[in-house]
Amino acid sequence: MRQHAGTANRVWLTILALLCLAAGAYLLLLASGTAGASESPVLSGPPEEVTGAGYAPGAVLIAGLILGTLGLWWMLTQIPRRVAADTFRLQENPARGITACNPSVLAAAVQDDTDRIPGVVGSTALLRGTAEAPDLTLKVTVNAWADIREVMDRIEGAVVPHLAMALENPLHSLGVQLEASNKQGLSGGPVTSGGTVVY
Amino acid sequence: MSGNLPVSLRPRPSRAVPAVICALVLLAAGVMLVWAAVARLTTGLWPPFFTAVSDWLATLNWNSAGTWTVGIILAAIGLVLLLTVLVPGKFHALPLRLDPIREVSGDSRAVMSRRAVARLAAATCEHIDGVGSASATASDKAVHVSVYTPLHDTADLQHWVTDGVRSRLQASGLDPVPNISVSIRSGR
Repeated sequence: MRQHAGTANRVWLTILALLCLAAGAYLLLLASGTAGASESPVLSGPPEEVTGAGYAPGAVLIAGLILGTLGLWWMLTQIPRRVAADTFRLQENPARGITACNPSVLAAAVQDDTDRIPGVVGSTALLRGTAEAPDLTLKVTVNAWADIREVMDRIEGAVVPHLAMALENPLHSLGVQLEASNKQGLSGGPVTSGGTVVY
Repeated sequence: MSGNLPVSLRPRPSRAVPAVICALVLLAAGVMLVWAAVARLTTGLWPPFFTAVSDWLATLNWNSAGTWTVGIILAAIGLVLLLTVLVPGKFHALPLRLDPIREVSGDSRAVMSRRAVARLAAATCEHIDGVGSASATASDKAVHVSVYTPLHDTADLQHWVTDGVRSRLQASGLDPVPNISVSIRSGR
C-alpha cells in the first residue's frame, strides 16, 4: 500500500556500480601498464598539491558535505510513504459554499464497510487522488478459512459502489491487497465445532 | 478514462538492503571528510586517520600488489552492485482475478501476499481427513505443503491434499494458480 524507493535505489545503485567499475578498471589498466607507466608512484607529492594547500580543507569539506547529504537523503528515502490524498473538495462554488471532506473520514467508512463482510478480520483503506478521480487502495485481512471469492464479490458489489455513490464519481483505480490470518472474522464467518459422534 | 494504480500493488523488491549499506558508507565517508576538514581548519593539521591513507598511497607504485588489490575490490563491488540492480528479484504477492467493476473507470487489481497463500493452503489441509497437521510455504509461482499424517498408506492422501489445495486456490481466484507440491511425513 505504501510507496517504496525502488526507482531511486535502482538509479543510485547503478550510478555507484558504474563509478566503482570504471575506477576499478582504470586502476587495473594503470597497474598493468596499459594506461601509463606502471612503475611510477601512485602519489608523487603531498595530496594537498591537487587543489593547492589553501583550498584543500575547503575542497574536502565540500566533498564531505555532498557525500554526507547524499547518504542521509538516501537513507531517509527508504522510509515507506503513504502518499495520501489532500482534503477532497466536493463542491467548489464560493457563491454557494464549499463542501470539503477529509479523505481519512471516507477511508474509515470504507474500512467499516469492509469489516462487516463475513470472514474479514481487519482492513485498512487509503484514498489518493482527487474527489473527481479517487484512487482506493484497500488492504484486507481475512480469516484463513473464509470464502475469498465471496469477500471479493462483496468488495466489488458493495464497498466500492458505496464509496463511488458518496463521492458521486466513479473511482479512478482500485487496488486490493489480501492477507490471511487465523483469527476469527469481526462479523462472523466459518466456525469450527468439536464433539463426540455416538453411533 | 483509464488510469494506473498510483502505487504498485505487486512491486519488485526495492533493493533496500544494498541501498542502506551504500547510504551508510556514503554518510560515514562524508562525516570523516568533514571531520578531517574541520580539524585541519581549527588545528592546522590533518587528523592521523586522514594522513595514514595518503602515507600508505605514497609507499605504493601503480604495479604494486596494493594497487592490484584495490582495483580488483573496486571492480568486484561495482559488479555486485550492478547485479543487485539487474537481478529483478521475486514478487511478494500473487495476482488475484478481478472482474471489471462499473464504478471503477481505470485499473482495478487485486493481489494476495505469499504468506496469505501459504496460510490458505495450510488451513485447507486441516479440513482433509487423515491430515494431522500441515504447514505451507509459498513463492510467487509455487506452493509447497508439508503434511504430517498418522496414516501409513499416504498415496491417496497426497492426491487429496494436492487436489484440495489446488481447488481452494483456484476458487479463491488466484490467476495463474501456483504449482502445488506436497511432502508427507507419516508416523505415529
